[in-house]
Amino acid sequence: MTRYQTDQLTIESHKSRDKLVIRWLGRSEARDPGRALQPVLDAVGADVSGALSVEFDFRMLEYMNSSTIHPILKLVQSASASSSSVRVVYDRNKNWQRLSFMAMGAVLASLKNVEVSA
Amino acid sequence: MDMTTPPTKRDRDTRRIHLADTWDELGRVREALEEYFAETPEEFRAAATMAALELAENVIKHGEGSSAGSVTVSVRQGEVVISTQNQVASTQRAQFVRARIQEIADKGAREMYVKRMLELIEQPDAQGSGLGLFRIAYEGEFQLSCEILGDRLCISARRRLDDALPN
Repeated sequence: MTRYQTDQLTIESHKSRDKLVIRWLGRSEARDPGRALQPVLDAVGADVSGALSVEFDFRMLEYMNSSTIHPILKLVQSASASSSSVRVVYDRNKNWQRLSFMAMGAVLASLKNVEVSA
Repeated sequence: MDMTTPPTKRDRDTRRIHLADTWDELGRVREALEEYFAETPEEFRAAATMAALELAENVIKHGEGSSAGSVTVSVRQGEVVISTQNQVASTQRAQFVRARIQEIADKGAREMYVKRMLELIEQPDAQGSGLGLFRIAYEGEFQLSCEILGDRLCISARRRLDDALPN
């Protein structure tokens, strides 16, 4: 497992056989997450390339500001281009996650190998 | 306070948080909102805190003058009002915010939220997400309104508290 840390956000990357699980924990509320997370996202992106399937697990994410949504969309797009299947998992019991990720699911629906589910 | 409408037992004193021009102020906003709504259900508390944080982020990013601005929260007659005010550098910014709030009223918060996400997917290098107000309206279920008073921009987010509380 590789662990990336920035402010109050931790991103863990677990690789087993051909599956990569990227787990987000804590809070993402940087002023410019696109910039603040860039080194982490580059590292995660390198982990993602070469994996047959990728799972982004946001269930342990406590809070994210709206500026975090764009980097997430870009990361999922990038994974979709380099892996055969991508799954985005959220916690349906957290109201904000359900609404945020359902909206993202509608946006990502055009990517046929991406599934957004609770 | 409006003297014709007596306070209800669920009314709360107004709390104002003055914001300095630093991102660390958001921690104070979060703590204040979580404390203010400590007795409400977790879902409501999370929505109100999110709305206040998104509004406060905009104040710190776009506020001008000696302090960035302020966040105010109150409960009157069962309605939660979270509002911000800040000085703006140009009326252009204020007009942009007003137009965006009007778009939400005209087209619907979810539609605008998803539309903006689609734009972001098509413009990977876009600066600023521009999702905050849509998120407050859609995820937080707050009604947004906006006033421009000279060089000051005032945004209010309103939601009934009654439905979130047990009888």
